[in-house]
Order: sequence, then structure tokens, then C-alpha cells
Amino acid sequence: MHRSSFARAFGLVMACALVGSVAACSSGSGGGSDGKVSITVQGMPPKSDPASRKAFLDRVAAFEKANPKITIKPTDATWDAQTFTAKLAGGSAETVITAPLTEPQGLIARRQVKDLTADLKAWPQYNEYNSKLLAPTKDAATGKVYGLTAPIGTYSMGLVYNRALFAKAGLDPDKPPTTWEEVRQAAKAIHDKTGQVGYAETTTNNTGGWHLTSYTYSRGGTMEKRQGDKYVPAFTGKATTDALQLLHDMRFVDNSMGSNQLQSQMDVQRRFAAGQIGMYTDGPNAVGPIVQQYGGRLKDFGAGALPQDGGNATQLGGSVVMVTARATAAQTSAAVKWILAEYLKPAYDPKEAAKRDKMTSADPKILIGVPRVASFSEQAQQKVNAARKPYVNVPLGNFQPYVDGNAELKLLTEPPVAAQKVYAALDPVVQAVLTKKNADPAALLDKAAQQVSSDLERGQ
Amino acid sequence: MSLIIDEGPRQTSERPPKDTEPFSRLVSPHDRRRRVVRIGLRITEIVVLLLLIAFCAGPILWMLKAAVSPSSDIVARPLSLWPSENRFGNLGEALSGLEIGRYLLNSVYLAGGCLVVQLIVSTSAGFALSVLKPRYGKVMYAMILATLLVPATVSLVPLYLTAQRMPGLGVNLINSFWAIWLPAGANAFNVLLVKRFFDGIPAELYEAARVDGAGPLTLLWRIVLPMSRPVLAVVSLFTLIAAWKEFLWPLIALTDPQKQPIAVALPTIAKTSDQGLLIAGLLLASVPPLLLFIAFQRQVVNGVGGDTGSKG
Amino acid sequence: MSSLDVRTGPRGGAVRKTETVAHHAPPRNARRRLRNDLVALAFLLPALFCFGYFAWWPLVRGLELSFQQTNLVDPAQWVGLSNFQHVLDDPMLATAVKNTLLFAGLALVIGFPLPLLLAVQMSTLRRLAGLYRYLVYLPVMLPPVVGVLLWQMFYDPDHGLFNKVLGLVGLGPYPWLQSTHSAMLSLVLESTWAGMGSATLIYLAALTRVPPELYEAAETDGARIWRRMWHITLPQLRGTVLLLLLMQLIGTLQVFAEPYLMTDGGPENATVTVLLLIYRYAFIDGDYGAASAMSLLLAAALSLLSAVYLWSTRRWSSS
Repeated sequence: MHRSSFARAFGLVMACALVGSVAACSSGSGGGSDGKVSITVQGMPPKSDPASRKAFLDRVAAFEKANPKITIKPTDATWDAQTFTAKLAGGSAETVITAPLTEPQGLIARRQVKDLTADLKAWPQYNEYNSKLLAPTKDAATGKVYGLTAPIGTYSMGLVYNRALFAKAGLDPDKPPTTWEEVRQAAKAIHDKTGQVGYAETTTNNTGGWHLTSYTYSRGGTMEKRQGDKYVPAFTGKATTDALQLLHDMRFVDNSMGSNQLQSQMDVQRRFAAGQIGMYTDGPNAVGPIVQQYGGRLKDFGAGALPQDGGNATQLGGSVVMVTARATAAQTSAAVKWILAEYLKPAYDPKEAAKRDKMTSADPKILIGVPRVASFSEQAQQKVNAARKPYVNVPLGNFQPYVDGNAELKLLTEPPVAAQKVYAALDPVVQAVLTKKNADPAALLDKAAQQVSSDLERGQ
Repeated sequence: MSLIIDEGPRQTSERPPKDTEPFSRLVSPHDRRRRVVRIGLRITEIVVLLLLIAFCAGPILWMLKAAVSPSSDIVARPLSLWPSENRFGNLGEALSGLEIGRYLLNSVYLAGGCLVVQLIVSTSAGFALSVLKPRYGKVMYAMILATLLVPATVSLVPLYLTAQRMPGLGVNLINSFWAIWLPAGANAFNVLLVKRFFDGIPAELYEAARVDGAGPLTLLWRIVLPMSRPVLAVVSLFTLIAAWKEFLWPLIALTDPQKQPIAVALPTIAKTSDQGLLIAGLLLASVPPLLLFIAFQRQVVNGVGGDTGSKG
Repeated sequence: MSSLDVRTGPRGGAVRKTETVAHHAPPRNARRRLRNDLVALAFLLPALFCFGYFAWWPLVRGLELSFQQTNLVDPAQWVGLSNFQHVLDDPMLATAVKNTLLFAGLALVIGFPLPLLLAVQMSTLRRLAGLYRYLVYLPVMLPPVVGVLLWQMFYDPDHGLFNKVLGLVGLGPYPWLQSTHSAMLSLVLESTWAGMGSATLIYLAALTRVPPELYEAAETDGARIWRRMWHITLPQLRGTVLLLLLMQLIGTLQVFAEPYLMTDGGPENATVTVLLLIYRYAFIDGDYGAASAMSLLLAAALSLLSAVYLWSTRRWSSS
């Protein structure tokens, strides 16, 4: 390089470095003195889903028209536990966030989300809202509410199964197992007849502990119990031990679980879509990623209710909508308005529900009609379902076992204190029973309980 | 990676002029005339070569093959030497469908910025410390070297907090490329390397230029930098390679998928996409550093094997 | 333009050089020195900016954080030593330390002698030496993420390349990453593959610098190749060997990408390393205080090793 031009480049770059780093400054103070308020919201569908994205932006425009003082800045960024705290600290966290159901209790404990009780009490439908769905976003100690469960993704844990593999193994695709013993037999049949994995378990990123919680509920157990005024671990009982023993036996006695055991939920969904897995535990809306993202066949997808052994219960899953702690009072009110219009209205207003479906049905790839947990009363849900009927494009019959079985089950929520820590301590336990022939479930659970107790202490 | 590079070209006088490959005299010419030694050497040569091909190049060759194979091959016939059908389309599909192209571009952009920042910091600091020798120079140099003692990963959390709100400036660098570029400048090793090289430039040169009325900037442009091309080449090469490989810091500092480099994006892609396309993506991520290696093999090898600071 | 042109130019003016040295060598005059100091400061600005913000300040901040509890929104609270206590009480710490030491130890056993032997063999090559070096360094050039993801596929117990290859000779199938016994070893194999090239080339360079006279003298004394290797080559390399040993230790004690990407610490916590634990504390639990406290403990251990490293660099280069 010629010397003088090199020198010039050097100076230029230095100048850029200084100016640029200052220009990189990003700050978003939302409030204005003229009563206008601006909020950033998550939830915009990604570019890869143009139809939904356009529909979302249309709704944003309609909302802004109806509320001229509110400006909505949408983003397609999604929840990321790793960076949320720092984003919040740096002021770059969105005002409205959607997060998996596993997160709100931690966010509430760390005071990183806004108390919405007052704004929500003013909402006419508040009293009709399914109070079970409030549990995840409620501070049990104070009764304050910090968010709402998003109806669109709300589900209860069930059994997802491959109907084609069921048929091949000589099982009835319309009658999936309803007890854990039947799951074991079906898994063995699938493995023996088709060579594929009969039943798969997710074990990483806390999903092992999360599933173990569902299993425990289905066997009448619980993960944490109140002792005096504190919660202590309760997963050392028979329910959890039996659940682990079943996994262990399916893995090592029946050999029906394959040899790959360090799997995340995404791994399992991908392999399920490829027809390598007979059954696993997930919500019926897993059909979304399995069909749309991983290319699984819609007609092979079947959903049943969570198999039982004396518990008559299942676990709530899904996502929540919350407002981050840096929001001003005006932003909070605007955010709640947006949440109610965007997320809750289609769950109780049949007209709105039909309108949404009509718009999304522009893209035939988007699945409409996957069963959800009722966010309001059963009657309201039926009205909404009736209005949506013309747009349904999933084979409802494939979900009927889920709908029928689920009606009989109690809906339980996550362990109340430090659920993520509990799950994190239980992942290794699930991994152990699936990778070690001589694993002792009871001893493993005792060890995990010891570890969790200090986390529960710190979390209360 | 590279250790302390000796200044100037290495002594080569005692070697035969044609022989540019350095080798050890462990086995003498006399030994080589013995039949047993010759055969033994030949056998080890062949065995080691085969092992190197299998162990070092094998996985990469497999990746080359799998990248242009149908996904079903990966599970059904991983051992085949040739794809059951050629799927060169995988590469194009990965570039556009998985947006690997954008991630690669991000990586190029990041590596380029790191290079510029590191060159500026190391040459300017090296020049000040080696040539201008201010009174506080020793202290400053010691403070820079001291950062070598504390591995970067240890200050990961506070570094993150600093980047998301720079004290005094209140600037948030997270999710901007500056979050990668600027911290890259704090590379004590490069400063050390460059300063030591500058130390080896005879002081008389500066004095002569100073007499001619040259200021410090002229000294740097006219004398120091042109003479330092070898060390700057090594620093540049290793900066580029290191920036391309970096994983942990970009993973934390760039969470916006639009800005992530390929190394951070790949694990996410691995979880969500078809395996055949993923391997095509892995291959595409490896092509730039491999090309760099092919083009600058000698500099890389000499840079790594350069004088280790220990006496031979 | 080659650097030699410049070098020969001013060197020609040797006569003038001596007189200017007398005039211009470190400015004695106080004002001139001050000016020189300020000019130097201007040149040091980029370094001060980068090191100040991204090296020195984070160290101070890390120290501060380890005594604080913060959610980064409300003002931080000083909590004394409670972060350290929490971290030290965490049963996972012992597991992580044990695993990290296991990784470092295995990496030493496998990844240490291999490059040395390879380098000795390669140093005797008279043909194709370039090809060998090229091959051995090839994996180093790949982004670690690529290597890790590739090996993760190879390790698949059902369809992976390794079990298929070993199956051909009647071995296996092995569980690789799926068993507490072999998971860490599998990670070490991958990282040895990825990192071996650098060490080999460094040894190779050191080997070629062993003075030929030593070998010649030994040969005259009748020492055979093996004896020469044992009595001359290895002792001559000990400086390089010690340095690489320390560098490898410092590197492996910070292992992160392999367990993070390949096993997420499993199975049954068998591959949870110290850095993975720090990462989880900070970026999963949002407990920056505990993460900083643990970082500080790791820093203390690593600084010790680094100090030995620098000390030995100086020692070996001056001896």
C-alpha cells in the first residue's frame, strides 16, 4: 500500500473508531411530554414466515390507529435467557416480552418484570380469565400478577406419537397408550417391529427435569412441598422414583429407547419428524415445529393425553407475555393494552378469532386448529372454536385422543420456587438412569434433593 | 497461538541452499546409508503419513463428501467414499436457505474490523513503547503484559457488563460489531510481538531520520512500518484466523441473529436444520480459513513454529 | 518493496549516525522529555482505550461484582463474602473442578506426547515435509465450532462414523458421549485433534534448531539414533516442552466450547467444567455476583500458572 494512502487510511479508521463507537449509542426512552408513548414489543413473526409477519404488522397498524397516542415498535427478536438480564440493564430489552412458562417465576423473584395487577384488574374480562393460567405469572406470596399466559401457545403436556409407526407396529393409531405401562408395551412393540426408537426422552437444557415433573404429576406426586413457611424438595417419593425406574427399564430391559440419550427438545422433534421416534412427551402444538420446520408429515402426527398412573393430572406448558421492569407507568398501561388486544382478544372474541384465522390461512403452510387449553370459560372456548372451524386445516381426528383424555385431567403448574434450578438438578438424574445400567433412581434423587435445597433457600 | 517471533530472517547459511525445508540432524547422512535405518525410516514415514491422512484430514475429507451428498447418506452409508448422488445444490441451498451467506459475510466483517483495530493498537503502542520510550513506558508495558496473566474468559462477565454500558460514555456496544472489534484491540500478545520486533530495528535509523527533521509520525510511516512487514503479516494472519474462530465472546455479545458470525450461528443451525445442509454449512464456514492457509501456508507454519523464546 | 531496501539505505550513512546519537539519544532536556512523553501518550491512546475499557476495567469491575448482588436494574447491594460462600457451598463446584482437572489431565496424557513424537518423526523427513506439516495443521485452521459439530456426528452411537468404522473390525458399538465413563475422553479426543497441529509445529521448529554439532559429536562417540534422541534431542527441547505444557494447562483449564456444544455438561454432570458453570451462573441464572466470584477463584488458579509461564519464558530465554 502506498505510504500516504496508508497514513490517510490509518487516520480515517481512528476517527471512525471514535465517532462510530459513540454513534453506536442506543437508547430508547419511551415517554414523551405530549402524552405520547412508545413501546417495543416482541412477537413479530420472522421474515421466513412472510404471511404471518404481514398480518402482525397490519394488526400493529390497526392498533396504532385505534390508540393514536401509542407507538408500537415491533421486533422479531425472541426470548433469550442468556442475554435478557444484561439487555434489561443496558436499556435495550423490549417493553413487552414473551417467554417460556418456565421463566416468569425467576423474573419475578429478581424484580425484572413489572407488576401489572392494577392495569389487569381494570380489564373487563379479567374475572373470566382461567385462574389456573395466572399461577405461573403470580407472586404466590403477595398475590400480585406480573403477566398473562399467551393463549395461542398454551397447552398441557401430552403424548406425541407417530401414527405411521404405530400402524407398522400393529398398534391402533387412534388409541394411543393412556397409562405408562401401555407406553412401555407400545414402545417395545415399535422398537421390535420397526427398529426405530419406541419412546424418546429429552435430557438437556433442563427438559429432563421438566418432563420428570410431568411424569411425577401423572403419578400423583409433587416436586416441592410446603414445610412450615418454606418450600422444600418433594421429588424423592415413589411417584418420581417409579417414573425414573420406568425410563430405566425401557432403556436397559426392553432396549426400546435407542442409544442416543443426550438430546434437547429440538433434537427429538427433528428426529421425530424424520420418522425415527415412535413416541415422546410434548404438547400437541409440537406439530408446528415438527411439520413446518423439520418437514415431518402432518398425517403421521398424533397427539394423546399424558399417560397416567394414579395421578390424573398433567402439566401446563406454553409461554407468557410480560412487561419489563424499566417500563414507565404510561408504557406499562400501553403495553397491557397491546397484550390484551394482540394476545387475549382472539381467545374470547369469536369474531376476532375468525378474522385472525382468515388472515393466516393466506399461507396454507400455517397450521390452524391445533387444540389449546381454554383461556376463558369452556363455553367461550366452544364459541371461538365454532367460529374458527371454516379455517381449520389440521386433521382434527389426530388430536382427538388428546382432547378426550385431557378433559379428565387436572392441570398442574410448575414447582413454585426456583423451578429452573430444580430442573437443572434433575437433568443429570434423568441422564443417569438412561445411560447407566446400574443407576439407582432413589439415591440419585436424594442427591439432587440435597443440591436443590440450598437453591430453594436462596430463592425464597 | 504463535509465540515470540524472532526478529529478522532466520540463519540459513549452514544449510544447503536448495534445501528450504528445515530438518533435524538427528538422523545423520551416515545413518541414512545404513539399510536398516533406511527401511525403518521409510516405514515410519508411510505409516505416519497414512495416520495423518486418516486422523487429521479424514474428518475434513468426510465433510467435503457429506456436504455434497443427500442427507440420507449421512445416516445410511457414512462410510461410502463417494456420494450416492451429487448434491452440489446443498451448498447453494445452505448459502441462501440457511442464510449462511449472511453469517459468512458477518464473519468477514468482524475479522476485518478486528484486524484493523489490532494493527492500529499494536503498531501505535509498539512504536511508543519501543521507539519513543516515554518515562512511564515501563509501567505501561508491564500493565499491558499483566493482562496476559489473566485469561480473557475469566473477566467475561464484567467485560460483558462494560460493553453493554461503557463507563463514562454510557454507550451500549452489545449487538453492534464494535462489541467485537474494540475488545479485540486489547491483545497484549500482539503488542508484545510488535514491540519486540521494533526493538530489533537499529536505533541509528531513527537518529538519522530525526536529524533530517522527521517527526515521530514520519518515523513510524517511513521507517518502522515498511521494515515491519514480516511481523505485521504474521500478526494480521493470526488475528484473522483467531477472529474467524472466536466463539464464546460473539455468542454473548451478538445475540441478534442478523449480526452473528458463522461460528455462533452454526450451533443453532445444527439444532434446527437438515443434516445434509448443516454439513454444507460447516464446509462453507471452513473454506475461508482453509483458503487463507493454502495461500499463506509458509507464513502460518513459520509463525506458529517461530522462535519460542527458548534457546534451541 | 522489500524491507531490505529501507534497511540498506540509512545504514549507508554510518558516519553521520555516530554524531547524531550523541545529540539525540534520549532527550536530556526536561521540556523535551515532557514533550516526548506527551507525544508517546498520543500514540498510546488507542491502546489505552482498548486496554482500559476491555482489559483493566473489567478486572476491577469483576472484583467489585464478586462482592455484590445485582439484578442490573436496581442499585447493587454489597453482600460481603456471601457470593464466595454460595459458590463454595455449591456441590457442583467440586464436580466441575474435578471434571476440569480430568479434562486437563487426559488432554495432557493424550495430547502432550503425540505432537512431540510426531515432531521428532517429521524432523527427520527429507521429502514431503511440507505435506506432513500441512496435514497436521489442517484441523487447527477450522473454526472450533465446525470441529465440534462434525465430531458430534461422528460420535453418534447408532449412525456415527466412529462406531461404523470400529464395527468393521468387530469393535463396539461404544457409547462415546452417552456414558459418564467415556464422555470426557471423547471431548479430549476432539480437542486433541483440533489443537495438536500447533504444538507439533512448535516442537518441529525447536527440533530444527538443535545444533547439528551435538549430534555429530554423539555420533562420533558411537551413540545410535535412539540414544541420541534420548540424550540430545529431548534434553535440548525441555524449554519448549515446559512452555507448551504450561500453555496447554492454562488453555485446557478454560475448556468451554466442547462441553457446551457437545454435551451441555452431561451425562449426569460428567462434563460440567468450571467455565461452563460460570457461564450458567451468569447467563442462565442471571447471578452475576456468583459468576464473578467463581471467575475470581479461577483467575487465582490460572494466574499462578501464568506466572510460572512468564517466569520460565524469561528463564529459558536468558539461560
